[in-house]
Amino acid sequence: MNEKNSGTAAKNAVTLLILDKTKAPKMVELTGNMTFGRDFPYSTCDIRVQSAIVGRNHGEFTFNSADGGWYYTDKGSQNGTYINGEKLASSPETGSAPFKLTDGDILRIDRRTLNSPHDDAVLMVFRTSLSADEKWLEYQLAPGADVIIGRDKGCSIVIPDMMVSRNHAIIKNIEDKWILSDNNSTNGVSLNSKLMTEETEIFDHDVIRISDTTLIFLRDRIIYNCANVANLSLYVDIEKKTVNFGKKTLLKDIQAEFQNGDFVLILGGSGAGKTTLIRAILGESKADGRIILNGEDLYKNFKKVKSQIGLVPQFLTLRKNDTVRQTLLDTAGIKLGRGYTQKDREDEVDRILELVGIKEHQEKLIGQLSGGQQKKVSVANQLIGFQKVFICDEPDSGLDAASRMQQMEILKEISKQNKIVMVISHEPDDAVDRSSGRPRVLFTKVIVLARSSEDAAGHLAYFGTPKGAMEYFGVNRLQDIMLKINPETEGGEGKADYFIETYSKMRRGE
Amino acid sequence: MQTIIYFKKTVRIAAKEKFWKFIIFAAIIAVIVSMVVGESMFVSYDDTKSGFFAIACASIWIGIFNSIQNICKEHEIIRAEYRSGTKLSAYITANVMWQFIMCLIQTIILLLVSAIFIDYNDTGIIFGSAMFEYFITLFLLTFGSDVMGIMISSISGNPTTAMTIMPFVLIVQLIMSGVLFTLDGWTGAVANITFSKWGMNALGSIADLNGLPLLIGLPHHQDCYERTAQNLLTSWVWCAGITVLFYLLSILSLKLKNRDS
Repeated sequence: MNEKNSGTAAKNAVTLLILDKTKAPKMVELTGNMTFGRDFPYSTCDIRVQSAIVGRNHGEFTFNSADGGWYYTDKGSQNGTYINGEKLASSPETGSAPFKLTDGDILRIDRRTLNSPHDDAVLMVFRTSLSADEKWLEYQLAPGADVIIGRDKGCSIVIPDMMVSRNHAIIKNIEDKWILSDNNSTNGVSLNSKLMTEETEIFDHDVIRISDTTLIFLRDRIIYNCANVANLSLYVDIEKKTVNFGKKTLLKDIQAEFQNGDFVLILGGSGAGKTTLIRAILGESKADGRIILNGEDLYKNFKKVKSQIGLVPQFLTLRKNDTVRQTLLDTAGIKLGRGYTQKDREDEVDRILELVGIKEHQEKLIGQLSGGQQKKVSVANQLIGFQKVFICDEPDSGLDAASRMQQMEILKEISKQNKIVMVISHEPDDAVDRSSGRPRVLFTKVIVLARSSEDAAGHLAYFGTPKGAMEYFGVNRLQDIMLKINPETEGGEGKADYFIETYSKMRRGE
Repeated sequence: MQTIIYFKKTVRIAAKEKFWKFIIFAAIIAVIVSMVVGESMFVSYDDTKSGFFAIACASIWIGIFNSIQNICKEHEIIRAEYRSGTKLSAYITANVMWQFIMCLIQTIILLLVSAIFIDYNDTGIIFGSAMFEYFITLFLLTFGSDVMGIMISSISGNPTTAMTIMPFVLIVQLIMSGVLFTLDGWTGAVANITFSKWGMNALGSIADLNGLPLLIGLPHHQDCYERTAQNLLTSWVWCAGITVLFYLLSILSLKLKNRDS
């Protein structure tokens, strides 16, 4: 749907957008543990900023290989560090405890009253979904002139992103104040990592987020990233998911991270928690933990983020007595909202009908289609709109081998369009590319869930590449992984506990 | 905008599912009821009251049968669409709008068919024409029952449950009409939220039941059938009010069903 999402995207990097005294945005790629401090002639810090209020050895960014997370530690600096508006507790002797960073976190070294920044204030935005060569643009503010931000070409700041409404947000200059308001946009506006609910006065160094675009408000201008190179990241961090008032644990210790283009297989026996996991990622049944999509926490910003994660259910959830085209047009009307014309919706439906390969059936009633064609309509229906992550619950069930392969190829094609596609499948070895003569697995990542005999909860038995998974489990086919972890009563080898424990040790680096 | 999308979709699918079957059913019921009660109407208090009771019951049955399965058969679809941004109020409103049109057509047919067999009185209480007042009353009964069907359908998990609940609701409507039994105490209070009670009151007022002779015994007078504008308007307002309540409860039940845990 979005031009920016087509073609090859720049690779995601873990980056810091830094704005210091020079007021020129600077992107720094975090490549390992890196110290941060004031720039002076003998500085040994990896990241140096121009600012008198930053300590010579102010803080440190560290990577924890056990959980794959990035952490920030304030090293007991005099002025401290504010993360998302809260000052990190720190003492000169011991510094602060490491703070786990997530995409979009805002770090500031500034006065206590963040609303009136110090001339030497430093702002840093932690991102995992941007490329290191992110382009930044500037919009000069003029006194008395309103700033309209949106997709429409007539806007002051144009963001060419279908997730952005035509006139998405307005910044009004009233006397000496700047007031930001969400102009009834479909997907909302975040200010300093919080979803806006009413018009709010904004101040120097405030960070506005609209879809993938970050806008930094300065007194005289707005700096914003060129959304064309924005990428996608999904971070799943589930501590546990319990039911029956905490008496029964369904899932425990699930951490996985995905990028755009990932085609992910979710494997697991019955009762291993596959459905619980997808419901947690969808936000339908919240777990103790976080689901971070492009820096935004699904559980905290559910209304805004939920529309970006779509489910293609196992069974048809479309009206059989409506035509394919009308169904998709209605979905476009509902998902895209008022900001899109009838032609926009028609074009979008045409594009998706082509992509999924059901254009020739567009005037047929859904009930008249075969099972495989109905599954394609279900996929097409989810493709309309703003979804970045697609979770498909057994999209190949009930299909013959040829249809299964075709269905998987379509889903792989979708993932290539800068999306993340996650699939539960019991026939994963059908998802192969044979075009080169030698079968090649289409999946880029595999999550294996297994039920522990200790607590009867689903645990991570493996997360990584398909090749790595087959080596780890000592099998030649993905579906044989199930034989290893299924209990003996279900025809398996009953090694779930062994693989859970081994993988857990691997993650801890033991 | 979503209401318009869903309204068009509902009409489109109703056409594919042969909605005119419901119109024909309404006509058949109207013929049967009118043939049975026709000759004895407006002759005596007892027979006229029984006749109107039969017509009121027919309206309630037609209304509830129109919609009882509409929502419950789509719960899975609604859940998927809600996730994609559907406003549940728009979905229910679109269904109610379409049922409004259906009920309008059915009421016109019911009244026209019954007029062939029943010699209705001419003069109304508020408007000049009694027929117009009968039309408003029967429409409020049919449409209100239809929205009640939507509410039951919204609450029910599947069509089987909805069809199991339906007879109980119809029995409550029959018992609480005040025609078969005298209602007081808590039964009187419950009767206040039944269409049958207010529908019968309105029909009895327009027909001036109190002015008709009893077959046997002393002249009969019931306040609820008083031929006054206030009595008629009160009955109409209650019917409309209960309809609005059921409409809101339909939306609420769908929201509760689709809430995230």
